[in-house]
Amino acid sequence: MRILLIGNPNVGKSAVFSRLTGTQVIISNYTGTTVEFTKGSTVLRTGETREVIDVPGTYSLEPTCKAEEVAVSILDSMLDEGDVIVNVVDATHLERNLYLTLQLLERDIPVVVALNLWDEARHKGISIDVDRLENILGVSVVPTSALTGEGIDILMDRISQMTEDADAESRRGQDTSDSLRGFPGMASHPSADERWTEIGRILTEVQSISHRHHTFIDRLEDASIQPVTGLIIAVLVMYLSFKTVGLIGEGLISYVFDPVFEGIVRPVVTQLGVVLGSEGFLHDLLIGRLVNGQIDFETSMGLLTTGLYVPIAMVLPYVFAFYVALGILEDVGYLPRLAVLVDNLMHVLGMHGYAIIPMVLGFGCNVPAALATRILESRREKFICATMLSIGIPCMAQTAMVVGLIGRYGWQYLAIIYGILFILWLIIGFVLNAMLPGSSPPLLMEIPPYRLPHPKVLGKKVWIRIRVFLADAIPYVFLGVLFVNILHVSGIIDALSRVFAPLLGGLLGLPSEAIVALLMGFVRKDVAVGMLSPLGLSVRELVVAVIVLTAYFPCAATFVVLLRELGPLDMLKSALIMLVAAFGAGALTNLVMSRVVSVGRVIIGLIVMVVVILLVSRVLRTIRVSQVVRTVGIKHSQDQPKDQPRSHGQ
Amino acid sequence: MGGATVVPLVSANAGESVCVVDILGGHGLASRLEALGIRPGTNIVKRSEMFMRGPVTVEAHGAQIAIGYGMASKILVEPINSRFSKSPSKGKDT
Ligand SMILES: Nc1nc2c(ncn2[C@@H]2O[C@H](COP(=O)(O)OP(=O)(O)OP(=O)(O)O)[C@@H](O)[C@H]2O)c(=O)[nH]1
Ligand SMILES: [Mg+2]
Repeated sequence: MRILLIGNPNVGKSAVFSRLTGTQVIISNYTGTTVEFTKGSTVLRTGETREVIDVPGTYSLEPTCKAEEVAVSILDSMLDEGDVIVNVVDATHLERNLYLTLQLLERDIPVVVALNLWDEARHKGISIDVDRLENILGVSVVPTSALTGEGIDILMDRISQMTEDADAESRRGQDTSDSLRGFPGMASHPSADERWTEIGRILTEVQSISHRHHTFIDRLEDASIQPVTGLIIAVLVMYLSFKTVGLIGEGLISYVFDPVFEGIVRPVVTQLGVVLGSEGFLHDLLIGRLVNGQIDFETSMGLLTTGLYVPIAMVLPYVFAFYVALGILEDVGYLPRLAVLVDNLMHVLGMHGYAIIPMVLGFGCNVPAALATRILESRREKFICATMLSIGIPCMAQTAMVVGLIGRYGWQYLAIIYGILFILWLIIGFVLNAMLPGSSPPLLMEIPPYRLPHPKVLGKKVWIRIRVFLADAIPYVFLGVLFVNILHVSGIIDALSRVFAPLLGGLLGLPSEAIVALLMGFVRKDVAVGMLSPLGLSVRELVVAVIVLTAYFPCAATFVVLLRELGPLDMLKSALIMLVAAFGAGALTNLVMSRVVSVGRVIIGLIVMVVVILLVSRVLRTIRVSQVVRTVGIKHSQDQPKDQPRSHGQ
Repeated sequence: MGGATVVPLVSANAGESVCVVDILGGHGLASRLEALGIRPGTNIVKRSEMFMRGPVTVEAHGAQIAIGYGMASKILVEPINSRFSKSPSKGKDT
């Protein structure tokens, strides 16, 4: 008794979903935006409430990655009697979309076709004879433009009609051969060839395309996938995104949030502190410890001071700025082009170019990024991607705190931190690619057309993400602050410091109190970075601590998703790699920055290490392959189909 | 534009219209490409090729598709000489 939205990737299923249900979901201009299903509900014309499910996109009913599997499995196993399918179709690419439509019609399920992106088809001079198409397919076809809402009412009428019919039918216990069902024009199990021939026939009957001149956007699309111009555009896009985030973030802090906190919050909480008697547990919990008799929003560690200031005045502005920039890149359709550009590099790291999408998302928040690894085909690729993500990509909340804390010592320290994380990211990918059996699968993806971002869609998307951030951040920050206060009062902190002193002091050159921050890092990284601030660390100590904090383990929310996506065993392996990488990098940074070892030596050492690992894994691989060939010669050639070319990055 | 020589997609020139003749390799590759509408008989335009054996981008049925180099070298194509063969994906075998 549900309504499932099924269709090719990037055809506007999620846009139709939010129109039908009023539930806000992420809508972006690239394939694989939705990677798990989202539920919502809608009220039919009959007054009944029905569940509507937004499903990941798939090109056919033979899945090639986890996201597509989700879509197909829902059809294969979860489809109940009375479920209705809305097949969302891209009217500008009717030919390719009809392949899935035919596959759906061959199954015995009620289908309504939504001919979406109707506005864009019109704009491109594509005209489709809807009545004729309805006749040929034998199901309702409704032209829609999910962005403007055009046609959604009619779609709703047809869905209501269809569910009534389906209900009536299931009550009668009748099964097949209703006029709503089955595809009249074809054999029951056609081959792919037969399907394409049929599609060709349908197209000549229903579609006509008028000639269109090349536009500026066409030229821009072309330029961004050509080698030289593509690279120039990429550098430009990165630079502009960076600038935008910096400008909006800094601007919001210095012109909006700081004035509000200084002008309104400070007098109020100061007054409250006086009322509470300027000391005692409750005072410390709510207001925190005073610095020179004053409240210090960054270091006082009270719920109403640091607990509010960190998430709202330090982190939120940058998170907002980042999501505006990301949203524009997503809606324009730039990200897949970036994937084409970096495909070579990513193969050296064991993945194909599309893995750049989880990485870019990770700079916002690692949680959706960990989910987005579902657009990658193989387990190996997902494992590498998830591990690199957790180690080398700090989320925006953390970045905002790092900028707030370390930026004042000069940009070069920020460059050191992000440079080291980037090198670590590269090394991890390179080494994992060399050591893990198998190779990276080749890139195969659709590049969406460039589109002008729709301000409303963009605004809603930023709002969805900000809401998630606030809902997560504020409780966690409060918990964190509470946790620190309890640790302080109970004296546990001293005990922990003593236990971990050798590790922190000996290996990383950090004072033992830094353990609080490292423990907090398991829960939330922004708060953890904030906790470094009252410790009075030197810049060197701050840099080392931030690197370790970023790389050693994902935050709790990311960990939960990764555990589900990778499984316990792979998660354990990944976690071990993270610990080794983080403490290794932290220790080396400490040695270099306290001038015990020279940078040159470290670089030479790292190169030697990587080469040795590479050689050893080559040898191991040859041994493994020859063993496999000897023992299961025939089976091996089946397991590794010829169409999986060796990664050309090796 | 010379005679009807069959070459791998990677060797075709950027901007050239070609017709897919054959897809080498296993069933997996062929069916993934097929779901995207690229199959023997499909007319495609090669749009670009990234440096150092990067992905090849083609236009098929009005959509742009990026294909990794290894995969693209298994797609055999034939340049289209005729200016009039506009109709997309006429199956050769019907
Ligand atoms: N012009 C126009 N753009 C649309 C329409 N419907 C969706 N879009 C745009 O198309 C892009 C894809 O929309 P989504 O709803 O994310 O597509 P999807 O099918 O859910 O995509 P996946 O989740 O990746 O499978 C977005 O950039 C939308 O803004 C429409 O009717 N007209
Ligand atoms: Mg979607």
